[in-house]
Amino acid sequence: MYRAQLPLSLVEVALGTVLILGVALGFALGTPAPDTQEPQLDAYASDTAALLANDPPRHSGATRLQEIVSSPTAFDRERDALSNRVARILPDNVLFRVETPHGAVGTPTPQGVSTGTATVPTGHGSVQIIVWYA
Amino acid sequence: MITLNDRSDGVTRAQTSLPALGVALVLLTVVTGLGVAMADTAIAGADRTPDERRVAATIADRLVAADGPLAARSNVLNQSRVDDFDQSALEQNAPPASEYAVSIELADEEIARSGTVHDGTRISRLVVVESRESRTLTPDLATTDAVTLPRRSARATVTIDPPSGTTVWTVRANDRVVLHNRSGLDGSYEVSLVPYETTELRFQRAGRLESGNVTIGYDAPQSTKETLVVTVDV
Repeated sequence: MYRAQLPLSLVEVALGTVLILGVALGFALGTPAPDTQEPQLDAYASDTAALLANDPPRHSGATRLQEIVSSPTAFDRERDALSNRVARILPDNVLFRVETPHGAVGTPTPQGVSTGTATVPTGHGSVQIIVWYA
Repeated sequence: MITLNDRSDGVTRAQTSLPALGVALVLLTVVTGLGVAMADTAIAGADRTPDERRVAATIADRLVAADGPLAARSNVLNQSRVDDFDQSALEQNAPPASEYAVSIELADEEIARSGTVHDGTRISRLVVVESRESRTLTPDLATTDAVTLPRRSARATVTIDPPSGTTVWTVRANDRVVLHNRSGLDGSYEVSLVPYETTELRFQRAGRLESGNVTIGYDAPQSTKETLVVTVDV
């Protein structure tokens, strides 16, 4: 009667390979790629907010930012001018969306991209500026 | 790998052989070597030079801050301060600059640097560079007694030279009294204004004022949008 026996060394080498590759894979996948875009995008967003807060208004109010959020009619009137102004502030390869209590201007925010955000409180609610690379 | 041994009891049993053990050891060693190499590469690849990025971001923050060495207000740089900025000012305001190679560019033009930057990490900030230009306004006050400044300004110089028989007592900026003299204003006066509102100057007087009797000098800010780039190389 012949009885086969599992070669123990091969079982060992298989188990050992799985173990070592598992640990190595942990290192390879466990360290995320550095996200170097987000700090720059956050800086762009907060700079845009600071520049809007420093701009003189086109009609009335203390600053451009205050003028935009002061009322729904003022926002409707300033919508295109605001869009142009923010597009001129930001570099060409950066898209933006500005959300105010009365509505939003800019491109709809895409899913799954690195974005930079800045929120500015104003007397009429918060204005959020979201920027991302095109 | 398996050899069959005839045993005295007639049972044939498989047994691990020495060559199989050798092969197994060699395989395992190779895999271990590969694994360590992979882990090493992964850790080397995750090296994100945090020092460079941190120093660049901090210096950029400092330069655009409202109380920074260049700024007039937050993100608004003063042209004359930018012109005066050099390496010693950079090292004084951003101490890491004496340790790292730092280059500051405004509108693609290097305004200060410490050391030579070959590669390194860049942080860009969006700023407005503001230069002030003095302008003079000569209002015609013959028929009206109010004049609106065309630009918002933090200060103005009002020069009043009334003809004989005319007295200017009070100058108001948006109903706020900025100059007053019961016996008449005559001469050049500095008045500080609110830069966040459009200013209307109103002259309270008795008698006629001709064009040229009152001149108003004010600062008209000229602003251009630029990019401030800080590059740091370790």
